[in-house]
Amino acid sequence: MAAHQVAHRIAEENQRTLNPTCTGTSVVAVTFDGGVAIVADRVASYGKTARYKGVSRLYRLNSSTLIGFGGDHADFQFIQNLIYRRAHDYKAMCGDPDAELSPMAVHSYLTALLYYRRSRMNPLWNTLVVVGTQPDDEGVKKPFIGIVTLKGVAYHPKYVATGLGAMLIQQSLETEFRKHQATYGAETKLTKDEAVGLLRKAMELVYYHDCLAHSEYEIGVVTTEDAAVLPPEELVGNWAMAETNCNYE
Amino acid sequence: MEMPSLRMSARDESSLRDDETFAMNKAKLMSEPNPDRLFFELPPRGIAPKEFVNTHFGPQSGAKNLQFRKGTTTLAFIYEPKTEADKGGIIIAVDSRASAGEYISSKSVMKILDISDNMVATMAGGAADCQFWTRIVAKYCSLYELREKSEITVSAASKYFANVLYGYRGMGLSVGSMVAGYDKRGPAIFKVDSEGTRVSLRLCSVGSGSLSAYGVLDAFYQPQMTDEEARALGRRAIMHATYRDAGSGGVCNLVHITPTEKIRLPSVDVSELLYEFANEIGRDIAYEPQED
Amino acid sequence: MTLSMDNPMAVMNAFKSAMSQVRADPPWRDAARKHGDRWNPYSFEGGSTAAIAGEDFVVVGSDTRMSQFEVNVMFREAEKIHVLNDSIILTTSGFYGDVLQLKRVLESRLHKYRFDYRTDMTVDLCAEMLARNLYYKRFFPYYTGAILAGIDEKGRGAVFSYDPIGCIERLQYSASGAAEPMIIPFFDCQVGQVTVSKETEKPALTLERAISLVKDAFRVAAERETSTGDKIHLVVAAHGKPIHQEFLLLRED
Repeated sequence: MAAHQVAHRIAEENQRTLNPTCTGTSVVAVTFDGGVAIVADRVASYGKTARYKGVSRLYRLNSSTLIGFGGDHADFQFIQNLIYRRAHDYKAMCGDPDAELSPMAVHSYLTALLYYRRSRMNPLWNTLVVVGTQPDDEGVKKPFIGIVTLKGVAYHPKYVATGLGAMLIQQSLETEFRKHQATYGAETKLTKDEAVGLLRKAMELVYYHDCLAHSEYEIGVVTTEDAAVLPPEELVGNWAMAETNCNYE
Repeated sequence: MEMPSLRMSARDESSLRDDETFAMNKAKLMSEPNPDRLFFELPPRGIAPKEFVNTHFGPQSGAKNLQFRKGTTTLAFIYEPKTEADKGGIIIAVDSRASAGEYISSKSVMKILDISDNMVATMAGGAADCQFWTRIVAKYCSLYELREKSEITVSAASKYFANVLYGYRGMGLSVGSMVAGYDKRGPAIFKVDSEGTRVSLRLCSVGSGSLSAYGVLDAFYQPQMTDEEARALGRRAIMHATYRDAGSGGVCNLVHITPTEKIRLPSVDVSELLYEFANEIGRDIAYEPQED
Repeated sequence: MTLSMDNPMAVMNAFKSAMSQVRADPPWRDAARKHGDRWNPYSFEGGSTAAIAGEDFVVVGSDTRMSQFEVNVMFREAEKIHVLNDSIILTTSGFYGDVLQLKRVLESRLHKYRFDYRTDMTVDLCAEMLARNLYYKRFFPYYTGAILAGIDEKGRGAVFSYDPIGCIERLQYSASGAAEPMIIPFFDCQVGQVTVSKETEKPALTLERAISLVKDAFRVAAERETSTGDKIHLVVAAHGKPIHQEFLLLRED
């Protein structure tokens, strides 16, 4: 290797996210009968400052896939570029301008990518939530959630909360979710509206307890027809509790 | 003959895009690496492998029962037959315990590994290191035999082994092996370790329990013994080592290499041996549980 | 101290110590770099796996809990048993990213083997291959406790146990993961029969007994080990029969 290459390589290996700067916090997603709903607030924090407001943390890739992220915002924008390029290459490969990557394909790609980057000890500091509708062997579209963490740990849950939400609301989400299952492990009977309602409630809980969460959030919904990110919503919350909890007087 | 050597992971990746290098990496999944050009993936960023492995898998790390298997007592010695009826040759005796940190992860490890028809290597130190590199040496010996149309000497095999290990010196391999066998020059034992040392010995013991084993061997070894005496000596030394060394235990495996053949003797539980020897000297050596 | 060639030994020693110093702490490793090097690329998602081999069958079990930071349950339905083909079952605990990678590597190799030889690989061959592949990562190991189980060429049950860098051993029963130090003594007692005298008549290891032992092993582990729980994933392979899988509920606390 020539000297400039060595310098380049060392420089490259120093471009690493070990101290994420602008970050997003929780993402919550839940499957319902015929699709998936996902929610994330619209802020990128710098430490504990709400640095950039009105930043979308949901990325609509195509008519069957949405990607939500928590973690470093710059790394996510980089991943967004890669996925976009990937989707473009896929269209060219298929020779079909309408060809779309399935959520499972995107999830596998991201798993391999994040594992590879952690193996170089140059991680992409993100927890990614890929949601969508995935055609099964018969071609019937089924709800799909795929998670990848920054070390390349991947799994497919039926409902998930990442970031601080994993500790705060995973259990309440689970309790609520199981009410809508005929038997444990069965397909959910949750309707789309119930799912969205559940996510609004979850967002409220996160907002109360996570100091990085923000009142403005957006919900994404993927059904067998289309994927859409709904217009942002504002959360006020009920702060009456503050009146009764005044032991600092 | 090309030796398995260490290749640094200096691939020309600097000019490639991130997703391209990772696609390259993915392509490597399909086939086994060419065994003549062994490539070991190193920790990234030039981190020293020894420190890296020690940080994440060492005794101070969180990897409690996921540590590497190690710990042992092995011994080997050469003796001359005492009577016409005896065969003489080499006795190799080992225990069978493998510990991962504090935890005994196996009590039935075979620590005498075959290299060729009349040669074995013992296993002390890192269990995986010994198993893997002994296999490489065995392969080299087979190829040598096919190429040269004569059997390899113990000296040559052990020298190859030592050279390979020397190539990885300082990278944290842990091997303490005795290559023992009979060849055209007679019986031979070579002690080889991961520092690259290679010495020819007639009586040798390696491992955490080797001190106890040496005590027994040095006290009772004679250049001329009957086969029975020699085998009993091997077993006795292993028994005493397992009795006093926490890193050794399980069963005693014994191989007897005579000028004509390699005899693998059935393994004996060391606690049975303990009672046997206690009986022999007419003394209660340990608490004996009552039958219920 | 001044060095001159009059004292070659001192020159040599000075050279050696300078070399080792540079090797231990090269000048290009600045503070930021050293800080970065301390990043831990591994994590442990908890859980345990176990396997028992019988005369012509093998029973493999694992829990399905995946936890984070040793406290938080991330996921209750993680797959830790991977059926690689009709006679090979891989089960691993440890860092789940490495578990997935190891599975990918083995699946690719098995795929290529099938392509090359037009037959499925047997568990004996796969066991050696897994040992080698674990060792190829000797200096940047997979953080996994792998167990490979299956029906061997002679139709017998086989269990192979590994350490993270591929020390291989064929055993009658094995366990790995957080509850390994609990499950193994239970198997030593019930399968290995190490506590009863040689004269005692021992119960034969039937398929039914092996299955109930594996179930019991996870039930007791779930009682006393925090990262084991939720469900038992049970996989049974018997000679000449298709692989059977089932899930049973465990404690969720």
